[in-house]
Amino acid sequence: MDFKLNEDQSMIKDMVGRVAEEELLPLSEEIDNTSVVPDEIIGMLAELNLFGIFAPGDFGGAELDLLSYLLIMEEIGSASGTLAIIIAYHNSLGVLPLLKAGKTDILSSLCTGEKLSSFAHLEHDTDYNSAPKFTMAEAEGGSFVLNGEKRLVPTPPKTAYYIITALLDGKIALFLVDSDAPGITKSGVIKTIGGKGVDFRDIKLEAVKAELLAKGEEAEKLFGLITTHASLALASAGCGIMRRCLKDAVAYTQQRVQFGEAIENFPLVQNHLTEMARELETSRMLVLKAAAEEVKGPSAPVSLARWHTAVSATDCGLRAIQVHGGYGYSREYPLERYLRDIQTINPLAGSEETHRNIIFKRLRQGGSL
Amino acid sequence: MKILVLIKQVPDTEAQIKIDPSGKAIDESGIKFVLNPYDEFGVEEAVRIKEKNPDSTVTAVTIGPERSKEAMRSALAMGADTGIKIWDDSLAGADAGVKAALLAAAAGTLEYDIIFCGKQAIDDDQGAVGGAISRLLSVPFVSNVVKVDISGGKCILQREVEGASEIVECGMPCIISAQKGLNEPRYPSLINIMKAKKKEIKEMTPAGLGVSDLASKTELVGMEPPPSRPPGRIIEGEPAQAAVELVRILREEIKVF
Amino acid sequence: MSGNVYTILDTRDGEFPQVNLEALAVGRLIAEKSGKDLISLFFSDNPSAHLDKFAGRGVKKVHLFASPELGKFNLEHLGKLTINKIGQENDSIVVLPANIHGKELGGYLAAGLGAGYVTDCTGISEEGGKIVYKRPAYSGKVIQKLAASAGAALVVGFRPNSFPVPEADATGAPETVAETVSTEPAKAVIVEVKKPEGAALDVTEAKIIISGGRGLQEGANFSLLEELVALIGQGATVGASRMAVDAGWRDHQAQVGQTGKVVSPELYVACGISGAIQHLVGMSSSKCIVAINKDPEANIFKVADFGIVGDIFQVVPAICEEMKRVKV
Repeated sequence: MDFKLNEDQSMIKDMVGRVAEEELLPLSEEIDNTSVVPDEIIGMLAELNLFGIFAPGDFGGAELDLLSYLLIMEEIGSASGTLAIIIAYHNSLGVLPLLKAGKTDILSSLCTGEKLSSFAHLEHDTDYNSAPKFTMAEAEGGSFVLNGEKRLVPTPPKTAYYIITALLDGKIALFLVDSDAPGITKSGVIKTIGGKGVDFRDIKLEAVKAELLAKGEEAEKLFGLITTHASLALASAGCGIMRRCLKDAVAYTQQRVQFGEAIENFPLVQNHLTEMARELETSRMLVLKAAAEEVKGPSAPVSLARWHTAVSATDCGLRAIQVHGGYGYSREYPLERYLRDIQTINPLAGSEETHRNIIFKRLRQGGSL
Repeated sequence: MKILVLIKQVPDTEAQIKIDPSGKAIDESGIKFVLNPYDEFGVEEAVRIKEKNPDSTVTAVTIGPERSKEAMRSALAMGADTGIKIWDDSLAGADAGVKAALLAAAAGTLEYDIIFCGKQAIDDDQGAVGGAISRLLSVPFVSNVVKVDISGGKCILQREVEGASEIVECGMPCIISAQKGLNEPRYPSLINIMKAKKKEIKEMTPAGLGVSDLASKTELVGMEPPPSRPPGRIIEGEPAQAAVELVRILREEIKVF
Repeated sequence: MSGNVYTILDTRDGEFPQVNLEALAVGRLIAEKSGKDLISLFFSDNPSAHLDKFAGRGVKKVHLFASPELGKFNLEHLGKLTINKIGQENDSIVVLPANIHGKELGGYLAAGLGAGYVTDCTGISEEGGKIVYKRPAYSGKVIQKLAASAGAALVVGFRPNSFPVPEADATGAPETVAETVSTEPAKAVIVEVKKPEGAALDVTEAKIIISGGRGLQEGANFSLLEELVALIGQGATVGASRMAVDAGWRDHQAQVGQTGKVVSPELYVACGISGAIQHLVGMSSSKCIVAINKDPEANIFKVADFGIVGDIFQVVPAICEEMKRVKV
C-alpha cells in the first residue's frame, strides 16, 4: 500500500487546488445566490481540460488515471458543489459511456468543453439500482425513438447531449440524445436546496430520435460502470466540501474569542473539530481504497466509500455550523451553503439505499469488503 | 527570439515560517514550495512573446536542490520549452552574489535576446540577481517592469517607480525584472502538465559551469522571529464618539497630525 | 587600508528626495559604528543646486558628477561611474537610497565592486565586533541578521521610513570635489516619464496611509478614504488590499501586501480589511496601526494599536467630520 502521490498526481492536485482556491471559491457564493454558472467559468474549466480528464489525447482529453480524477474532484468540491456535479456528470456519465460504447465522433467536442453532456435516468419510483420503468425505446427504421419522462436531469449551460436510459425489449438500454432534439420538453429549473446552477429539470420525451449506445447485458454493465464511477467522483467531491468545512471551522475557532480566550481551547469545540477530521480522513481513505481497484461496475468498496462519505459529510457540515454558533446559520458565512450542497450531492448517481443493497449483497455472498 | 527566464522555488505565501534550530535557516518540514509568484509573471511574459513569435524558445533556469524541479515543471507546464537546473550541495546558504555568478555563467553558454526574472523572490526578498547579472554579462537591466513591447529589435518597457511610470527604451539583449501588473499568469492545463514531464531539464553544477569561487560575501549571523506588537486597544462607543476619540489619540498621543 | 562609507545619491525631476536624507542618516550611523568616513557620490544635471542638503549630516566629502544625462536615472551611468570611483576598495560600505532606482542599482554595484549585498535593512547593531544588519525576509515572517564576510565590501539598501532623519547639526558643509564625467551611450534610457494626472503619493513614500479592502463593497466607495486623505493633507495617500485591487476597485500601484508593496508609514489605517496574512506582511511594520472593521474577530485587530469595531460607512465619515472640526 502506498499513500504517496506520484509527481503527476501531486502537481495536478496543486494546480487544480489553486484554481479552486483563487478562481472558483470566490465565485461560488455568487453562483449559489444567482443559480447561474457564468459561461466564462465553463470556458476556464474547459481550457484546463477539466471536461476531458481521463479521455485519450486523440479526443483532446488529458488521459489521467482514476486517482488523479478523484483528486481533481476533491479540489473542485472544496470550492463549489455545483461545479463538482457538472464536472462529474460530464466526465463519468457523459464522456465515459461514449468512450466505452465506441461513440467517438462527438467526443472531441465534449472533451474540449465546447459542448457538455449530462445523464438522465431517474423517473418517478426508480432509483439507480433499478432499470427505468416509464421510458420506452422502440426501433424505427435504422434508428430508435424514445417516449417517457426523466426527472432531475442536470442541464447546465452548454449541455448539448443527454445519455438516457430507457427500456428496450423490457431491458435497460443506453441512448444518446441531442438536447435540442424535436420531442424533448424541459421543465423549468427545479428549485433544489443546493447545487444551484446545475439546473436540474424534468424532461419529457415524445418520439425523440435517439442513437443506441448499448443494450441487453452490455447496457446493464455499462450502466453499472458509469454510475459507480460517478459515485466515486461525487464521494471525492464530498470529501472536498468536508475539507472546506473543517478548514473554515479551524480558522474560525482560532480567532473567535469567548470568555477571554479563543474558542478552540474549549473541549467541546475541540471535540467537533477532531470528529470532523475523523470523518474527512476515513471518507478519503475509503475513496482511495475503492479507487485502488479498477472500477468495473457496482462494487461494495465503492458503495461503502460513497455511503460513508455521504453520512460523514452531512455530520461534518452540521458540526461546522455548530462551531460557528449563530453565524453558522447566517448567509453571511458559507457554512449553510456547504451543507446544502452536501445534501444535493449525496443522493446523486445512487442513493444510500442503493449502496446499502450493494454492500449487503456482498456480505450475503460471504465476501469481504 | 531566444528567451531565458530565471526562476526560483520558494515557500508558498501562506506558509508558516519557523526558524531551524541552527538559527541560520528555516525549518522546511511541512512547507509547501511553489514557483516564485514574480517569476510566474516572467514565465508568462516569455511564453506570450513566444506565442506571438513562433520561432522563439523559452528556457527556464533555476538554482536549487532536487525539490526545485517541481517549480521548474510548473514553468515547463506554463509553456517554457526546456529547463536548466544548477545545484551542488555546497550551494546551500550561498548568497545572491554567488547565485548571480552561476546564472551569468549559465546564460553565457546560451544564446538569448531577453532574460526575464521576478523583481524579487519572496523568500529572501532581495531582488539582487537582475542587477548583478546585468553587470556580469554587460547587458542592460530594467527592473520592476509592468509592460513589455517589442518592436524593431528594441524593447519599450514600462518601469513602475514611486509615483510615476518610466518608459524605458532598451536594446536587446536585455534583462527585465517583472512586477505585478505585467500580466495575469495562466494556470497550466492538465494536458500541459502531463506534457511538461516529457520536457528536458538539464542538470548542471558550479564546476560544470566553470565557477569555482563559491564564497559568499555576506555572512548570515542569525535569524530571529519578528518583534511582536503589543496588544492593541479597542476604542469603544458609538461611531461618532469613537471617531472623536481616535482623532484625539492620533493628534495628542501619537502626534501624527 | 580600510575603505569608506559611501552614499550614492541622485536627483529626481530636479528634486533632492527624502530618501536621500534617509540614506545620509543611515550612512552616518554606519560610519560612526565603523569609524569610517562618510563620503557621498552625487549624480545630477545640476548637483550644485543641492549642496546645502549635505551640510550638518556628517558627510566628509561630496563627489559631484554633473552632466545633463544624469538628470534622469540611468543604471549604466551611475553603476559604471560609481564602480570606477570606488574601485575594489576592501571593506567599503555603499549605502543606496530606498527606492526602486536604488534597488535596481544595488545588485549591479555589488557585482561590480565584488561586494556583498544587503537590501531592505531595518536596523543596524554591533555584535561581536561586527556591524550586523537586520532585515525582514520571508515577507517579514523572519528577521535575518547579516554581516559582511571578513574583508568584503558591502552594498546596503534599507526600508523607507525605517531610520529617523535627524535635523542637520552644526558639523557644517562637506568638502566638494567636482568629477569629470565621461559616459558611453547607455543601452537602456528613459524616454518618457508618465505621472498620472493628479497622481496620488505612492504608498511607499507616504507617511500616512488610509487603506481599504473588501468592506468598501465597491470601487466608488474609495471616495470616502480619499476625502479623509484630502483632510489630512500632505504625506497621506490611499492604499488598498489585494482583494480591492483584484476586483478592479483600485490600481495595483496602491496595493499593500505580499504581492503588492511593503510599507512602514507613521500611520496605517485599515478600513474594512480583514487582515489576511499576505496583507499583514505588507504593513505590520507600520509605526501605528488603526483598524476599522465591523467584524470584531477580524485578524487585522491582532496587529492594530487602536481598533474601532464598527461600520466603516459610519466611522470614516465621523472621523472626517472630527478632522474638519479640529482643523478649524
